[in-house]
Amino acid sequence: MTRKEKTLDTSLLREILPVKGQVLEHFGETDWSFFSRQPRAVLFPHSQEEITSVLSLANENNWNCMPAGNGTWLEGCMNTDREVNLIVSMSKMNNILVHEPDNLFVELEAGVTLEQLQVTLRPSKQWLPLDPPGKNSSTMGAIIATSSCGALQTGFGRPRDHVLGATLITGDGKTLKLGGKTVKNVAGFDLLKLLSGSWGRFGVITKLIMRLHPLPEADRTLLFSSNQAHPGTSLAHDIMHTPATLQSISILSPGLREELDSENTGVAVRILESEAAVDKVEALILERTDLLPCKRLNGSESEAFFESLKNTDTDSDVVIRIKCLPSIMKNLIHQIEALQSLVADDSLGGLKFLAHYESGILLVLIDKLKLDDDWLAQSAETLQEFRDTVEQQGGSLTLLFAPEILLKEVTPWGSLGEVETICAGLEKVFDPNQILSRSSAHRSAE
Amino acid sequence: MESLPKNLARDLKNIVGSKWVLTDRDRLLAYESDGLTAYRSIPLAVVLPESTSQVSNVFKLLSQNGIKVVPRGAGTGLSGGALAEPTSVIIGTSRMNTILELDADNRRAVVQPGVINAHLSEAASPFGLYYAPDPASQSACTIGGNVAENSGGPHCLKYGVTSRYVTGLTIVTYEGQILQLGGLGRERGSYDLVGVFVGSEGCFGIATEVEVKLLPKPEAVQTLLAIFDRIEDAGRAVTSIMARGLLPAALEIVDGATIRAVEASVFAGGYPADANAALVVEFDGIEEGLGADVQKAVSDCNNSGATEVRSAATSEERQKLWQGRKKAFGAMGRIATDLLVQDATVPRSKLPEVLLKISEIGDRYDLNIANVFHAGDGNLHPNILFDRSDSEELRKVELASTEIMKLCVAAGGTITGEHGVGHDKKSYMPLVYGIEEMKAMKKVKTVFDPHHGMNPGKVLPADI
Repeated sequence: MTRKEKTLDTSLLREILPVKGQVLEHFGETDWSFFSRQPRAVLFPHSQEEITSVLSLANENNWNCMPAGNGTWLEGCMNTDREVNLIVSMSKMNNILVHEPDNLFVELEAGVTLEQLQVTLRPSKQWLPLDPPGKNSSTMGAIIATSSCGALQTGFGRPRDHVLGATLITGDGKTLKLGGKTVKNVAGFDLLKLLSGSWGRFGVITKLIMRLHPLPEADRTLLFSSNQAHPGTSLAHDIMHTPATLQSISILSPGLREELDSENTGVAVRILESEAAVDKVEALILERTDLLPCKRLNGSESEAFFESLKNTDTDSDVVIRIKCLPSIMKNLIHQIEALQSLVADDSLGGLKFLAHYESGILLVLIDKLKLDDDWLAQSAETLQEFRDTVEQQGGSLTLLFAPEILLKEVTPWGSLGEVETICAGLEKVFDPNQILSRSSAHRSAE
Repeated sequence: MESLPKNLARDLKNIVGSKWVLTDRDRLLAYESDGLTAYRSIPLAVVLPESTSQVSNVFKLLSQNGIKVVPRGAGTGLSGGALAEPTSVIIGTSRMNTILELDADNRRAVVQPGVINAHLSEAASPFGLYYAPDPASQSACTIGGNVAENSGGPHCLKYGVTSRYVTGLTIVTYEGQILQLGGLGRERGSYDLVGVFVGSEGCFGIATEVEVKLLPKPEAVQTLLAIFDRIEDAGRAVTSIMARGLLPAALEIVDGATIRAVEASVFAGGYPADANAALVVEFDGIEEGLGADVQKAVSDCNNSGATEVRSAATSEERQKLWQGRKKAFGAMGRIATDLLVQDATVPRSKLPEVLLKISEIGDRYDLNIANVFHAGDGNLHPNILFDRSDSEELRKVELASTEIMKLCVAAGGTITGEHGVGHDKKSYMPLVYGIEEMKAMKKVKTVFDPHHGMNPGKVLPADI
């Protein structure tokens, strides 16, 4: 039985958040709306205490809440049945609290942006090797909550591999301090791992302690052409088996190359090494590729190339993330053609992809949708069939972004099968009244 | 002593074969403790299945009869995680020791939980690959045990701990349900169920198949041994090396007491017997990049007061430099009948002051404490030497352990870096977590194990 929602009274919120601008009721549609819907209010807490009070009040009144950073991911993996009364933005909690270069960690409020963090770390010759899609204005809390990462995960791992500790205000307003400041820490069950990829369904992440890395001395990108004789997946496969650790091996579709003004680039390989080692790694790669010619980018040029690569999927109408073993990527790239039917007949470049080969990630970007009368039914069927195709080969398909009506039909993750009960159980642990996870995409309808 | 009901023993034997259900007291004695011998208890029985379906059927039978289950790998754990009450049944994974798939193309392997850690790297070696987490017991400990404990090892400084390498699991819950978490590179939903299962110390279920990521073997390795008169100086060298942005594969310290124990044993590695600390520094990667890093590390050691710095030119020399570190625990048996291997972690820069205070604690309780530890990630292993038959000494060991834990937590660290909480450290959990955190942990356990039949009495204090 569901509890009855009480009408949202913003005067109650203003008592908790008394500073002007902390409670936003009338805002531009494009700022905090999603799928043309607007929450009743957007809140900007300044402290953990304020968040605890807001979530307690939301529990008492049964208001649905959504944690956010700067609002980049509001439509990401959204279950469209979900009503949201309040968005709790962490953007005003944006202080870097402690940076201990000797201990290679930083403690920060979740509203700190990745860009702000990297600028702070640079004088100490340290960085956080994460490259989530989009501009670096994403907040750290959002990057962790959405487990958002890019090409660098090949060499450095996923966001969860960089989190040492976190503070979470759970859906029922409890404060949990998880993990710590040290890389090795096996005290108790690792609830910290659950935060990464939780999409805010367990609570609001307010603080993070992140593991840092020394900035590499040399940054080099090798750009290889791909064609019939040297297909991208074959090249990537050969390069992956270079006896060295490579930070990224990315395959670009023709449409993407055009967009990046890098038409001859089929495969981009990034090497982050010491000055003394970078030439040797390049030589090893060239040995694997039978000395295939390539273009070399160094330092800021190398960095800029991958920066532009990670910004490619931000404006697409549909963004699909496929996760699979590298060896089946070749098949799947051929099978992407099936999704061409979603694109208007006369549109070129409506279907693009970017693959991070060794990580087994294939991002499919679809634009210029064919929005005719039969579009929805056909597209939903095509996507579902494609998801089945991916799953039959052992992979998974996540619909990261899509028009609301399509998301409603296809759902972001598809069936969770036997682990659905576990996922639903975990949501209830952290959010017993389901103010954050109601109608979650992880659960079947009650 | 409790005994297993005859009909239940018969049914278990029907599932796994009569040889693989142990109920004789003599045979059960081998299972009365794990690597932490301070706690001992003889289980009701030991069952040794060989497949996921056998585990599932055994669990169904035991859960239907309300008998609790303790998973066990090789029994090398150091926190009493595999200690079973007299009413519990141990499920041993020693027969589940097959590498099911070695997929060099995708740099992954699928193994049964009883596969020995080092055997996996040996099997991957012909493909130029290896499995990175390398606990000191890697020649004996199992991958399943590593999953349960989220094990580390010397080279985790650069490469990270077990959770970074486990990409999929087949698990069996107490009720016998078989669940597939992750695997084959896929993500089913966004929650990291593999991540939360790793390190759950057998309290959520048992892993019966483990998919892991393999890494390319580094092209070259260079190892240094620096000798110091004072352990604080070795700690300072570690801080200097890390502060300049170097990332060695390993940074390990052994103290004077340990050096002397090793040098007096068959494991002698040629360390100066009068040294008070030895620092092992290892770099790996592309050969051309290592020379400069090694020179910088040598300079940091010298500037921190090293009396001698040796480097290894050959693989044999490298093994010898590691001897004092890797054989430390074995050598301790020469100087005491019992050894409590403690495990705590502090931020790296706190090492010198924490080491001094541990020495003071040892003096105060009149206990010999030898330190062997992963200095690069601040993971201390103070080894307390004692005689279990001396009840007064045993009491002092417990008091000293508690003080060491409190000291490490006060320095910004935690109560265990890689051995787990198990039975030994559950009373220390309130040092690092509040009631709400521990309640949340218990609720998460309940999601996986609603009847609390898995590894009872571990990790969380009884009053949570």
